[in-house]
Formats: sequence, C-alpha cells, structure tokens
Amino acid sequence: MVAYSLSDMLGMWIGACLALFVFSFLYKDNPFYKLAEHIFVGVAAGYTMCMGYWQVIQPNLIAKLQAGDWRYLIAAVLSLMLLTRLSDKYAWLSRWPLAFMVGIFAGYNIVYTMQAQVLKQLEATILPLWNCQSWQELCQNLIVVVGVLTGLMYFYFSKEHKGTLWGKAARVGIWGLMITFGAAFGYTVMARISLLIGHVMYLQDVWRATLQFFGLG
Amino acid sequence: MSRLNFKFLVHIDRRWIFLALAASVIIPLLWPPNLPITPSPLTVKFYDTIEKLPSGSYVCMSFDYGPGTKVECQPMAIAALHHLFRRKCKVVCLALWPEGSMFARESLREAASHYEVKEGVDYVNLGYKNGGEVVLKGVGEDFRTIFSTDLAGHRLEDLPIMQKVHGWDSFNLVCEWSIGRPGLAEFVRIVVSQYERPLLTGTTAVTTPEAYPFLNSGQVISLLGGMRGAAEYEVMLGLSNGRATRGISAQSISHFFIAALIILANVIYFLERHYDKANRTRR
Repeated sequence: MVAYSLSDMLGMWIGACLALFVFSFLYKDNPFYKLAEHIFVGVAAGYTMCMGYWQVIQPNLIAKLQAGDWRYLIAAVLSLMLLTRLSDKYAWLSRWPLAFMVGIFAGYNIVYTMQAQVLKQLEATILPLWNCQSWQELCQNLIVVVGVLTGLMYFYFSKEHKGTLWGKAARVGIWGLMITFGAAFGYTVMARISLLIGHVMYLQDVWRATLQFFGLG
Repeated sequence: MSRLNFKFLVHIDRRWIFLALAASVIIPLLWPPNLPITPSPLTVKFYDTIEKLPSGSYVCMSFDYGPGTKVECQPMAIAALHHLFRRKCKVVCLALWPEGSMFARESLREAASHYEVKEGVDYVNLGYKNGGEVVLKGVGEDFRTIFSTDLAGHRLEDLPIMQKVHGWDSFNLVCEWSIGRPGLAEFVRIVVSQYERPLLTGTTAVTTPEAYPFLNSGQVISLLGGMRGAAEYEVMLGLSNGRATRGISAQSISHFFIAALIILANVIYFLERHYDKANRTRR
C-alpha cells in the first residue's frame, strides 16, 4: 500500500479541483473554469521554458561553451539573431537563422520522407490481384488498389468529374474518403472518451487516497 | 398522416446529453460489468514480437506523449515494460516530448517494482531531448553524442547497461509511444528507413488511422491502438489490475451510448423528412 504525505494529498486535491473546474464549463462558462484555464496556460508555459533551458540551452550550449568548444558561439549568435524579430529595425537579421533552420530540416527530411513516406507507401499499394492466398487477401488488395486509384482520380482537378468512367470513379473515391473520415471520427470519439475515463479514474484515485490518508479506507 | 412529436428530442438541452454520457462512464467505473476483452490480431502480433526476443535483448523505448494522452499511452508503456522485464530484456528509455521523461520515470518505477531489476543495469531513463528527428539522427551512431548523462545525472560511460549500447544498431527492438510530432513518422524515417530496426508502436486512438499506412507497408511490425489496444495487451499479460482494463468497460458502454444517439438522431432526421414530404404531397 502506498503511503501518502500531506504534500501528496495537497497536490492531488489541487489537481482534482482543477479537473472539476474545467468540467464545470460543460454547464456554462464560469470564473472557476477561467481560473483553471489561466493556471494551465501559465504552468505549461513555465514548464516548457524551464525544460527548454535545462534540457536544451544548458547542456547543448552553455556546457559546451564552458568546456571550451567555441564552435558553439556560432549557434549562440544565430539563436540571438532569432530574437531580433522583436525589433522592427533589425527584424531582417532573424531571416538568416530561419533560413539556416529551413535548409537543415529540408536537407534532413527530403530524402527520408521520399523514401519512407512516399516510395515505401507507393510500393505498399502495388498489390497482386490474382494468385492470392485467399479470398480475404484478394478483397483486401482490391479495396487498397481501387481505393488508391479512385481517390487519386477524385483529387485530379484538371478534368471535370463527369462521364461514365471518370465521374463514377470519382464518386467511388468520395465514398472511400467518407468511409475513411468515418473511421477517423470513430477513433477520435474513442480518444476523447478515453480522456474522460482517465480523469474520472484520477478523481476516483484521489478519493481512495484521501480515505486511506485519513485511515478510513 | 399522424405525426410523432420529436421536438423535445430535437431541441433537448445538450447538457442532458453531457450528463448521460458522464453517467455512462462513471457508473461502469464504480461498478465494473467486466465485459469480455478479446485480443485483436494486431495485439497478438505485438505480444508475439516481444515474446520472441532472446533473453538479454536490448530494447529502446521512446515516450513521446503529454499529460493529455497519458491515459491511453501510459498503460501500454507499463504493460510493455512488464513484458520486457519478464523476458529479461535491457530497456533504454528516452523522450522527444518534454513531459515524456517524467512519464518514463513513473512507468519504470511502477513496472520495475515487480521484478528484480536495477536502474543503470537493467534499465535506464535518458530523459528528454529537444529536436525530434535531429535527436534520432544524432544518436544513430552513438547515443553519447546527444545524451551525456541519464536523467539522474549519471554519466553514460559509468552505466553498465550502456556499455553495449552505441547507436540504433545496438537495439534488437524499438518501441515508441506516439501521439503526434515528433513521433512515429520521425521514427519510421530515421530508425526504420535508415537503420532498419524493427519498430513497435502504441498510438492514441486519434493518431491510430495515421499509423495504419506504416503498418500496411511493413515499416511498423504492429501497433496498439488507444485504450482498447492497451487493455487487450494487459489481458494477454495477465495484468488484471491494469488501468486500461479498468477503463475499457466504461469505454465500451459509452461508445454504445454514443452509437445509440447517432442512430436515434438519424432516425428522427429521416422521419421528419418523411413527414414533411407527406405533408407537401397532401397539400
């Protein structure tokens, strides 16, 4: 059994109250909800800033400079140049580090994105429609092949979606898209309900911990 | 044509629906109906992949989620840690999300307390590094180029677990708990495409449809989707007190309730349309 301290209990109850304040918005907008919202924004910003300093700036810049690696001065100067956006007169200087970042990320991403998210995905849609192991496999392959082709036809806007072939194929494409959106929406509902379940379970845990803390559970 | 009056349903205050939905979640959590949970083929494949790892294998686990999705990802991570510790695997944790290191610490603490495993020897939490893809690429050849210490401040050179870990090639398997960016796509681009490491993933329900193409192409071996995937995995491992297993009945009942509302709304819509049409014809 976990032993809870007074500070544990305090933290848990603050969390529980804030969760209830946020839920109160479902009834109507109120000052408790506003309070919870502002605390969340402030804490999240503060947490991210602290993490950014201690996990990024300190080990990746300050520690390196302290170790005498002066190459990192270039990174420091580029970082400071980003802050020139705050001044109207020198804002143009911030374009250089931005250009540097865009260049680096484009260089990193182009090859691997093409390889992992274009070519490999394309390869996965080239499936056999005969000599399949089972009817199930044939149906699965057919759905993928027809879905990809009709979906692409729907997104081809240089030709009007009319006629026996093009019009009907684009129509099948829309059906494919609608089914996909439906599945995605179903998953989204599942995720949102999971969040609600998580919070109810948290409130349940706080209640159990409180009873245990006062020797009642 | 006699007309049923649906007006009270059409104009119902939506707060009643919120209340009913809350009840559909709270009641099954207070009095669990223990609905059956049958593992899906994906969960079975996820389980089998870890089950087939030789004892002493090195596994990297990345915690790329925030507090908002903890309820879905954390049970998966804890269950996977249980499984890996049972298989006597060495686990190296890292995070590409700021809060991930905290969740890695919590998960390791919870799972490790059930086994005779030691921090620094059987598992290590390297903490969070900003940069997403750049971090994954940076640790490619040697983790020490990006992580000089673990989260507790121990130098990687001094940790027994890190003696055999260099880059991605040192790992027999990579597990990633993902909710967005940086996350699964970055792991597929670097760890799978470049270093050809086998990848398992657990995603929140929202991001699961985005993960399926990687599964279809074979870039991801298997995935656990949302709380359902986590609950199925917990059942396979015999973790009957797992958080996902606790919550899954509430999820099933609330889904049933939402589906019933959607059907009801559609029935009302079609009936109203039918009555309007009939009235127009009569006139």
